[in-house]
Amino acid sequence: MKKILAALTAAAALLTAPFLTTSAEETIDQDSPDKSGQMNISYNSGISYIMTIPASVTFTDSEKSAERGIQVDNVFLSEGTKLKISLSSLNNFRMVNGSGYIDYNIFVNKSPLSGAAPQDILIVGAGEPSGWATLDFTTQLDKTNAQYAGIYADTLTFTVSVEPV
Amino acid sequence: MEYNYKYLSPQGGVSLNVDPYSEHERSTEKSGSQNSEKQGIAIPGFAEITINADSTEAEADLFNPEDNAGLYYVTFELRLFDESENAYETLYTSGLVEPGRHIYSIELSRPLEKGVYSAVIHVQPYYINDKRPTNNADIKIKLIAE
Repeated sequence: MKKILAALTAAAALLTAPFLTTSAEETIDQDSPDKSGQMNISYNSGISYIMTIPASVTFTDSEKSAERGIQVDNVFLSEGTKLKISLSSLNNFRMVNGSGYIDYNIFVNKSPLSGAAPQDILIVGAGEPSGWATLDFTTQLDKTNAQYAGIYADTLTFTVSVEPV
Repeated sequence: MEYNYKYLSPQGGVSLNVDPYSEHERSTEKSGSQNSEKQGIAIPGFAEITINADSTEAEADLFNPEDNAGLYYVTFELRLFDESENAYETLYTSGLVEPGRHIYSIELSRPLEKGVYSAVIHVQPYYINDKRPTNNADIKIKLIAE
């Protein structure tokens, strides 16, 4: 009787012992000296963001100023870094047509941008989910250097970089 | 930024009656583009791209956000910065990408040796209605070949 009970007990232990597989290399069963295992759970979240830039601005004789926005959303950066956006003009803030040109200005927080090198217009630190800045475009439409009819144009480039703080 | 500078020639024979056909100045914008001009362009952000060293085939996720639906195509150009030349070398150029579409596989112009490189993804948007280029963006990234 005792032998039957022992056999039934062993059989019951075998049926109820959990099988835990923590990885392809490790199996835990009733014979394992250590009945616990470990597994790693991880998620690699890459740096990401969405930047929204103004498409263009068209000046007219009756509209010599315009306001546009630059914005970043869904910002996800590594700790200790920042997202920096700078702005540069293809023609040094001149609308150009052949050899002719008409000057214009861009103000960020009431400070004018100038020069050929990219200038910082928005910085967002790690942990901040979004950021924005207002760009004010103005022109006097001074045609001193614009002798011919046509479309005078310039192109802006928004440069983004992730840098250490 | 644009300004359409029009030159009008003088005309003779002035009438003293108000011309019934005169009207306020019309906008010079093409239909549909004035609203889109004020609508910003969504540009996807990247910090680094990892590719296989010594191979011209690379995987990436270059996409035109759905926020640009009905408004803008974009193109992508991967440019490698050459410090010795202080200039950029173009490794890859895409065609027009519709809003909501992705490019997952790209073909580089040449393979790169194992290493970490400074690079730029130049994103150039275009108006969907007439394919005119707009302002653009340069995304500075690390290009990791491993």
